[in-house]
Amino acid sequence: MASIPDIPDKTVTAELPQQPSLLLVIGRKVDSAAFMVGDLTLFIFSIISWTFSRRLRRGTFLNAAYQIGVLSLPVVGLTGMFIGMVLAVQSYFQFSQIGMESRMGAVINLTLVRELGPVLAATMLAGRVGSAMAAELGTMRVTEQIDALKSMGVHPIHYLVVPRVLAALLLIPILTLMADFMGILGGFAYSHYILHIDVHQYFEFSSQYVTGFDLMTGIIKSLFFGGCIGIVSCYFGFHSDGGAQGVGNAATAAFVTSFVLILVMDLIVGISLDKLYYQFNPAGASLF
Amino acid sequence: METHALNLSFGSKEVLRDLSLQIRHGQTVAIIGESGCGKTVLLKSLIGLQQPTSGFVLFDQQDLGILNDRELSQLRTRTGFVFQQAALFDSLTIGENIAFPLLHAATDPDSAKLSATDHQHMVAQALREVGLPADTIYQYPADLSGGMRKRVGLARALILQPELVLYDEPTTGLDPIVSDIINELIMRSRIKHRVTSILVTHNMKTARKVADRILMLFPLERLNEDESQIIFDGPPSELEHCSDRRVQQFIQGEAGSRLTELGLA
Repeated sequence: MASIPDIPDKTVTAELPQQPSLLLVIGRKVDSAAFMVGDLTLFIFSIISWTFSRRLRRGTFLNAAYQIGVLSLPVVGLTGMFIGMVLAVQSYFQFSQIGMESRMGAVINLTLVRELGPVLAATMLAGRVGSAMAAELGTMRVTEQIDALKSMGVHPIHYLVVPRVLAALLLIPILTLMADFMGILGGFAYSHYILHIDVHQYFEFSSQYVTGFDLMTGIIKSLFFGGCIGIVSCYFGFHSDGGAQGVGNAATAAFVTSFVLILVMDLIVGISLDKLYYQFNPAGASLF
Repeated sequence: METHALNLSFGSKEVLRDLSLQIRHGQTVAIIGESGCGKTVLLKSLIGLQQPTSGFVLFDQQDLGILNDRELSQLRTRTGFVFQQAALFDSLTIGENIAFPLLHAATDPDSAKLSATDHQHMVAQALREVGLPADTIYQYPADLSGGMRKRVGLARALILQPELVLYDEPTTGLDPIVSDIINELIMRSRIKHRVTSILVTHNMKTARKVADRILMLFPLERLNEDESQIIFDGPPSELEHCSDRRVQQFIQGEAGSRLTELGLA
């Protein structure tokens, strides 16, 4: 029987690689971050260019719209309704102590249409659709399906990315309205049927404080969120590498980055829109 | 098809160095060599799927490096690519996969005018050519064996009747019988459609049977600075008579001195 040759023990003689210095590690991180920003910018330009230069291929947008919009409606509606009810529980606890529970409708509805509706719809979209898009495109990358598209003369940005970004951008306002509506419904149902708040007072105060501008603020914010989710998720999926682990990392990075950007944009767009509003309505009370 | 002084690196790792070759119309060229020597990278760079660091690739006298995305996409409709793992689209049926180039890559006005019935006939014909039953069109890639997926990949690559077909390890992972079926299909496609074929393979039986020219690449890290990366270029019949020890070692599949180099001897 042939004997297995001895494998020389290289660990004794081989020199261990030197640990890179902290400065080098930081430098590499900055370098890769700068590269990513540049690469993402080019990716966005490419999406814009393909969006306007060629008509979308048959069925690609409808399929993306169905996956992103229609299939997200139930989960967005359900979470919206529960958030509305939670808001009712929490605000009742505070307002009842100062005898102003009749004004709960204003607080609940204002919070929903300006903040929680758009942020909640965007978060659900990032979690349900964003990571799925990143994983799908990442799998297509590592199994050479993206190369296969290119080899057949189909540009992957035009075929894969543009429909998904457009669907996320155009359908998120509808999802936001759904979250708003279900939240308002849930908040009202809990306030009226469980906490016995008067219907007339609930909606009377609400209509005094919640304006069309508040609703528009939420919708405009949602457009930023939708565009961000679509672009970020497709970017991470499209640039995934390293097999199954790379695909998993892409899906996680897509959700985490989208979520952080949603919160950052919520603050920036919220402040900008408020400033704009008070520019045209100086009589309004501004926080800034 | 021509490459001139082609260099390609990934970061600091040099994969292709000063590679110049010409492939005539109708030729079938097999590119052989050890894993990691740059065969697939070369294959992909021939249709612009990999960008060279320097040098250029000419396809039908057009320099791929100066074409924009749209021009490159248009040019690729004249080529077919059979991927190592077939790279079929998971979410589409086999019929939709084969019809994909017809529906999506057709920039030819005649092709665009084809009706859905014409597409169905062409897909059925393509399936017959690769010996798959007609009812396969309703199945999904996950339902098929590796050999069947490869044949679907071949049918998809040939449906637009390309001038050039590139095969990336077409018989890897298949049993000898299915491998020989794939070899036969490659040869038939060359005879029937008069295509130029370039295949990357480790399978010497495939290379000898299908190709009329064999190129052997060698990994750069074990090559002298002044040596060409192509260590063999000739017909399969000359392969046995090549005096280069590295070529003989590869075609006979003997590790020999590599064991010592890897510290395993």
